[in-house]
Amino acid sequence: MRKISFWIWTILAIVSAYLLNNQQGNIPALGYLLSPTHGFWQQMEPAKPEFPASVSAQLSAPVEVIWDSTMVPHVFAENDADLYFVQGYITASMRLWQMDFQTRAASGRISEVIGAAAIDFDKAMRRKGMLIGAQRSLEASMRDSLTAVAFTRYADGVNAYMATLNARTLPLEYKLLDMQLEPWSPLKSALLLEYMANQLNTVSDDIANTNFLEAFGFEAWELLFGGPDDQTEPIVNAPGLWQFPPLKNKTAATDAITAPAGLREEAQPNPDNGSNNWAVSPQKSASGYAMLANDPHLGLNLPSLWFLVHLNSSDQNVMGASLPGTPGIVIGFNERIAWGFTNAQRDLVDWYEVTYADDQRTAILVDGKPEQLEINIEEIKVKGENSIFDTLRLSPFGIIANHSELKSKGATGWAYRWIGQEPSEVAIALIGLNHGSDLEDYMNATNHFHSPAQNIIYADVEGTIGIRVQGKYLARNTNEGVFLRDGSKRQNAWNTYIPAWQNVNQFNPERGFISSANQYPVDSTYPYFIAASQWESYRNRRINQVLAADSAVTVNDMMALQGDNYNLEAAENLMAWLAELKFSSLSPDEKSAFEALINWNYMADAERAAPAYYDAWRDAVLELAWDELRGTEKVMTPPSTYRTFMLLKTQPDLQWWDIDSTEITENATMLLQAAYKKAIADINTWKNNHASSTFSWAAYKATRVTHLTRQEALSVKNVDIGGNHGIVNATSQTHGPSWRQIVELKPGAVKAWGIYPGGQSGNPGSAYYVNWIAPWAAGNYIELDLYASPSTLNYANPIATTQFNPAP
Amino acid sequence: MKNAIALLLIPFLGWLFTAFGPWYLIIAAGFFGGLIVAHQWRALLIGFFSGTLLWALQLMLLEQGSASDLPSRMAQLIGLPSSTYLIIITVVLGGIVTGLGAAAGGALTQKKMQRKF
Repeated sequence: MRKISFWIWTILAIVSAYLLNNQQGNIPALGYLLSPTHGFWQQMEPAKPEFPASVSAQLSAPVEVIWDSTMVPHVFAENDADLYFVQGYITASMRLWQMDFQTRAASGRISEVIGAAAIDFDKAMRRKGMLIGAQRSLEASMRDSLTAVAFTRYADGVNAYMATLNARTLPLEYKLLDMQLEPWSPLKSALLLEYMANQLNTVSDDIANTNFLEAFGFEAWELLFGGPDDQTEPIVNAPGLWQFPPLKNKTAATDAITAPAGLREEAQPNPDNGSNNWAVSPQKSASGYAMLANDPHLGLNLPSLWFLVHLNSSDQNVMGASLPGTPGIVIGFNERIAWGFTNAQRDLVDWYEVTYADDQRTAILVDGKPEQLEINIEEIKVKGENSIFDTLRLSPFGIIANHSELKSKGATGWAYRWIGQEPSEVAIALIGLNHGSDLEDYMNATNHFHSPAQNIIYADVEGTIGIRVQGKYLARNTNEGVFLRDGSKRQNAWNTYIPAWQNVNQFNPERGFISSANQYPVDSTYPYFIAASQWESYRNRRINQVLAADSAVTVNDMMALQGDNYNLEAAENLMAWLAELKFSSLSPDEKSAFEALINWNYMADAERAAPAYYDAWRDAVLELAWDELRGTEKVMTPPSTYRTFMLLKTQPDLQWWDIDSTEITENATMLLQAAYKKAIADINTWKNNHASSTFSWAAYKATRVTHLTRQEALSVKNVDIGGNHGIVNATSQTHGPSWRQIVELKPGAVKAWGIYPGGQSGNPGSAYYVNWIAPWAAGNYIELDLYASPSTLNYANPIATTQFNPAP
Repeated sequence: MKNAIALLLIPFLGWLFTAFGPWYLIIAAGFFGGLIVAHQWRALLIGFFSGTLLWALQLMLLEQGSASDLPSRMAQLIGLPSSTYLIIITVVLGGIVTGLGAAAGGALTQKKMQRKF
């Protein structure tokens, strides 16, 4: 009897230990997670975080790291090999989980961490060929010896940090998701760069354009989608500058191809991904020095996308925003130059229709002959379930997925091709910029910038300013790649690229400044065809308007412009729209909104109500205007807002303004009236659902900074900030300026300011996890000190100093 | 006396074991304490109190000097109204697993079945 009791208790104890030590469905391993000695409690940090005073590591000489009062690390090494090792080590100490999670995301391995919910995402990453692209880019980049050192030593540093971790010190998310550590490698760094390219360069409307063309014809397509929206303020407006004969992609003439119902684009980036950058010449700046500003608009996530760091060795002294998981600085400055990026919108994706040569689909017909395919069977591991498999076929036209969602596809397949499948030497370009000291270095470095294609702005202490619209661009013929392409002729595969020197660029223009904001890149005399699924038409013009009007630009002016809430779209449309409403027939709520709108100064400030009324109205206009294109069997996408509002003004009787759900035929006026009623009704619904909130733009917009796991508890909601898409302060609900940087290039005394919406620590238990969100929202910056050194100790109350010593 | 020794020994062993091994070694600490108690139900009770005592003390030490709002975030994540609930659940959990270990130890050394508790 005694023995039976003993065994019962023992089994109960063991079973409970087992259950509590392992994740059960969606419930985390509660025993492990809650235990004071091993669980999340271990991630609670004191107000002043603690760092080891010394670390012994595989170094050739000592390296000193000073964490200044804002938790920015200043790394002082004798050589680059040691510098990158320590960068890897300290970045991992702040952001390991995020680096790991994002590289798994890039390679389509999220299902193994969070389960079946991520299968579609993982499939898309694999169908895009993310891993293949990263492998090709890594191979190309490692040919450069300095880049090879950077990648290898950074990985060594990350792995050295990982070796110090145990079940107690493992970052919180590993405990929550029951994730295991895996070794870091240069390939993972390349995957992160590929992931960034995916965020920026995979926007495509090829299938939607093809479907629209089939349904409505070319004339209608041309009216809604053809050409750039607004060519009056491209990035470079220099007619006649382009004195070279353009190359041509060797494309075979083919018949129009249609897409089957159900064929969809692979996962697309958010349309709010975009950026601003500008540079001001010494003649135009109040200080007499060149200045540069950049703010990339990306998903507002936690841990933050960027990690601020200062890297100093005998070969470089550079500071700025690094991408956790890759060596060096991505957006930053050194003692001589500064640089930054905006996304260079361009059609960098093509879809091809291909025909299989055999039932087993081992070959496709190219020029009438079978061409063998490389077949990869992708195993997607799924947490708690059996793996699923996706067959991918590699062809000269890109990656052919199975598209099992399409029922009768016969012998037809569809190949997906994008710039990220090409080898990119972007890593060489970034390491080159970090070490650069003049325009020639900038040119040499950016020649390697293949993907993601970017508008790379430049300024230096000599007073030079410039920009290159740089990427490995296909030399396209007119409208090539805008629709589904014919993959039966080899000539149609990507074959001819624009030489880097023929890409759009400009240096020291007469107007004294250069800017870019994802708009159309160049004047109409540029000899290459350029298309994209969207161009910015508001932020670019507002930036130019402000800079042109300012004859002595100061750092404060630059800061004010980054935070500028002027809604140019509203300024160009609102009065005309209001004129279409009959005030006397409005309800009391509609009247009060009308009054707020008519008295509005177009500033989308956080505390105002009018920006919310306007936003609801313009959203309703877009929704009702393009109701014909939504929910169709074959996917279609609406034209840009600029095009929509321009057509609404100039062609008020277009058939598109008819609202399908009503029996009458609407024109522009009736559409605006119906949209206004809908907008105020939507706002009233919002007010009823948020009875305790004060109605304001910030409350209505509800900007949030979201943890990568989407866990609300680890996120920050309702950030008090104005702006929106199309506004220079491009903070929408989920996207916005992920990093703001301003640099003044005074020779020998370069000064800079920056901030991002998050904090240096990736640990939700740290006081430095979200501490920059409020100052970021308020338009504040921190000073970035490039000349700080251990000897001058130019810091107010550094948090800690860590000495890295060579292991004996 | 045996009970008092167990009440002190279990937290001490629990602290020692989990300082070097996984968290669930508090069950082993409970087990050794239970051996001394030599009575399964009493051991369960003493194990429970010792486990809650140990985890409560450890939580207090951790909270001291921490400026972190992580407990509130984790409470929200698990679906609890506040971090107080999370603390209660944590210490009770520690008590339960330690108690189970102690009961097993107690059952092993218990001389004969007691008629009453």
